[in-house]
Amino acid sequence: MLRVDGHLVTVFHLRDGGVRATQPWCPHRAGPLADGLLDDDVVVCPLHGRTFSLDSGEAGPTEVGIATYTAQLDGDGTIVLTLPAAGSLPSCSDGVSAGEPPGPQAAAAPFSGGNEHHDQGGA
Amino acid sequence: MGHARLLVVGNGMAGARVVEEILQRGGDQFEITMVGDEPHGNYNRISLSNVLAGSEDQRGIFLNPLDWYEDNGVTLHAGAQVIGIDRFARTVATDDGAVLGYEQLIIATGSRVWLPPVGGVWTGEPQASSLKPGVFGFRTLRDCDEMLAWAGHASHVAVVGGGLLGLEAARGLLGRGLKATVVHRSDRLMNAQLDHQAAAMLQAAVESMGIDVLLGKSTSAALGSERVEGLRFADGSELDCDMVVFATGIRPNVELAARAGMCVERGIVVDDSMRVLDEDHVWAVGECCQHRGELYGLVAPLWEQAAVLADRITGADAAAEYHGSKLATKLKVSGVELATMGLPEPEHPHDEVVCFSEPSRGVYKTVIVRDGKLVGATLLGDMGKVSFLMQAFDRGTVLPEERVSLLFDIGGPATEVSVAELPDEAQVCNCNGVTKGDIRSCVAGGGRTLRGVMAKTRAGTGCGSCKSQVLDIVEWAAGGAMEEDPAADWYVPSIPMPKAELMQAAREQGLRSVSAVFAAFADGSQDAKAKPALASLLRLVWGADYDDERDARFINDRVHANIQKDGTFSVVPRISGGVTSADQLRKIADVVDKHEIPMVKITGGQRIDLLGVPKEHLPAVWKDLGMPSGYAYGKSFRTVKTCVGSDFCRFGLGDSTRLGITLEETYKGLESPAKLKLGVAGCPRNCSEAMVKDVGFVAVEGARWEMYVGGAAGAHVRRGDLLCTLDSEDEAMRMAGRFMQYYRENARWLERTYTFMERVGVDEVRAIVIDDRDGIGERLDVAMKASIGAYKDPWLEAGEPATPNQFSTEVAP
Repeated sequence: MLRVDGHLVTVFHLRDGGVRATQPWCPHRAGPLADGLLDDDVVVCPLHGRTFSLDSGEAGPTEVGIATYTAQLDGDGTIVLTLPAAGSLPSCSDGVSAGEPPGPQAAAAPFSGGNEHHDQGGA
Repeated sequence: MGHARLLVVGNGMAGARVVEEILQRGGDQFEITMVGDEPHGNYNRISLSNVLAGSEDQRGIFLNPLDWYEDNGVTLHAGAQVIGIDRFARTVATDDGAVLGYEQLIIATGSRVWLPPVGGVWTGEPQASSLKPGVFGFRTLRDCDEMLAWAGHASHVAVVGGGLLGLEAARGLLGRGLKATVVHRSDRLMNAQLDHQAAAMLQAAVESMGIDVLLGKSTSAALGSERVEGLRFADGSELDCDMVVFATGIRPNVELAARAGMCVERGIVVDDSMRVLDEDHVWAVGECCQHRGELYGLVAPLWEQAAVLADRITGADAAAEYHGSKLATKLKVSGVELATMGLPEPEHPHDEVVCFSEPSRGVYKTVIVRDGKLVGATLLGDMGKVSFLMQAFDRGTVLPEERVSLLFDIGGPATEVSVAELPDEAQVCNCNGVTKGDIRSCVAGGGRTLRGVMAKTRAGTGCGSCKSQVLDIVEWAAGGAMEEDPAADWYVPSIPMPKAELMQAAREQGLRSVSAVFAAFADGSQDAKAKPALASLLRLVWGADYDDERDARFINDRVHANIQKDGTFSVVPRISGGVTSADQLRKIADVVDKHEIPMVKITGGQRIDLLGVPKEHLPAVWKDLGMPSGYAYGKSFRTVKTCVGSDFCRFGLGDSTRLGITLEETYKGLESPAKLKLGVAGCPRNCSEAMVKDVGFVAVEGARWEMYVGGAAGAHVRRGDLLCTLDSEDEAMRMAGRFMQYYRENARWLERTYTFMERVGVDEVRAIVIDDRDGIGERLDVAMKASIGAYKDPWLEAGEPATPNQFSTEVAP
């Protein structure tokens, strides 16, 4: 989990080297998603096992989804996040999937180390 | 002829069921559109109580997911509400501005929670009011979600309404840790279904679970200004509570039909063909309709109505008629078995009543017979004859002369015969209206697994109470040709191999990491939920040579502590055998002070739990403790509970503390399919509860130890199986190790010893582990020794984190 311009965002490193970004908390009981299990498609909340798509943020058929953000890794290992305009990031209580961020702004998050061990527990 | 437009208003169980019935009869003359205001597919409302109680997952209760509509060519307008029907123009208008035409219209608007006129329930202006925070009606999935969220920080719930749903809600919330009080207006629980005696016994059963029952209390007001703080009753008394659930009944949603000028009394009035009275193109089904003066709030009548409606509307049976339903219910409250059907009490002087009552066991059975036919029955505490009585009640069959055989199986052989003897028309699954004949023809058509038959016929997919009978019938119909569901034996769902095969393949192909297993057997496609299971298996196969990818670990195993509801962790140091010292206690006290640890708790495993430690502080806490990990977070060997034993106890026969400490020091932290909790008792008084542990030893006269395995005293309670009696502590050590190794190699992921023992059988385990029938004893001992040798205290990672961010929550960008 990291703080970008006052927003908390969780960034996941996938085994294939890709990165994904979501809101940090599970909408169910605010479990820390950064502590969840992960594969190429989903993250599993550590508290009660709710499962969310890393791309769309969708959950099970009756469950509230999470916000996901565009995250890319550029050549020198910097993670580039595209976040919605300040103040419009969803909090954990209204975790609707933010497909189209209004007024995109780029936040550069230089990232150092941690890639080789695939530690989703932080970063 | 083109397709006629069929419009269904309402996408609940009734609407979806009637469409299914129509599709089953061909239904291709229709172009079907459904409008429903709940924003998702159709779900099984009966199971909401199970979701509330946590015995069923939300996902499991969906009957028709969204793809079902697409697959069947049904257009679904979800999240839209119909606001008007013009039955002359044959159109309906929705709140999103659409106007939809129809040739045939089915109204299935269902019903809603009815709240009694009680002051203080609503807040805000009368027109835009909402329920006071903490007050709930229990009807929809959304209600269920909101109740669970509120229950998370509430302590006492008052459930208004002592009927079926009220009791289920109270039991569900009790299980979520709330104190629960049921408030009921009548002088007895479930007064619509039970007589006084049955109600009194039900009340005793409910109270013994810890639910308070207040009878004859008419609720007059909900107290509290910002949020609910209590209830006031008509007699002036009050009850403090911080959550209120109304389960006071339902009212049909008839406003739409009434505004359109249709015939509406209490419900929308339909004739025997399920057509709305005097309407040629409009039908109604389910809880919104009134048939021969009756309204129904249960699911079985709805299935019968849907079948008649579908017969009529498709022309499959133009003479089909609905003649009303007989009502039978089962209470879904764990720990109480109750089924009722028909009349609660005799009505006429010549009604014949057969009654059996045994209050000390909580058993009460009564049947009411009129003209040789069953018109009512209540079974409490013993479900022995329930299927037989349900059949007799439904079908009006002639009853045996000897009435006592209505209540008990006397001397005759039991269930197998009755499955074979059931007539084909006998309804097995009352939720989905599936008969024995349906199941039989499904098996004849190639269904060979329980899961396959259940998916195809939907038998057993409602409340689930008939599942065992469905299994019996599938077994009987398959006549021994029943197949095991292969997937049931797979170790993880994403790799089609049972555990032993997967272990062997991993060993032969040299797969030492979880990602290597996915690459070899799942086309490289990972499965997050399968990772911890595979990590456990590979650690068992490779021991110290396991390639430990940290992302395969559950968070608890990544940080060697147990995650709590607020994202902090609990720290439990090892205190072998529960024997500690002044030094240790002093050290723990200092750590608590220094790190301002909010809660210190003595655990059931005779250890000390430090709760509320943030992830960042874990390494420092461990360092300051200077004690090894107690593994209170892993699927692993955890603790050995002991009694004082022979050192001080004047009854002690064996040195239970010494054996307990040796066990714990030897097997500490051992990786396992599920947690292992052990116990050692110094005499048969069993103060350390060794008979209900995964492995337990009890000292008996003659310096011998009885070894019990597969005991449990948690969510499941089971007395352990006596595996053998051993002559020395050394033998006890060795057999404990051998049993645990056998269990590690053969148990399914997360299968506790108590299920494992029931699956494998105590005789088989004894033959292999104790008598060494298969000659693998020595190999098991060697494998166990290797695992013990691979032990390393994980808390040593405090000094050298395995990954840079192992103990951080937030990192600097």
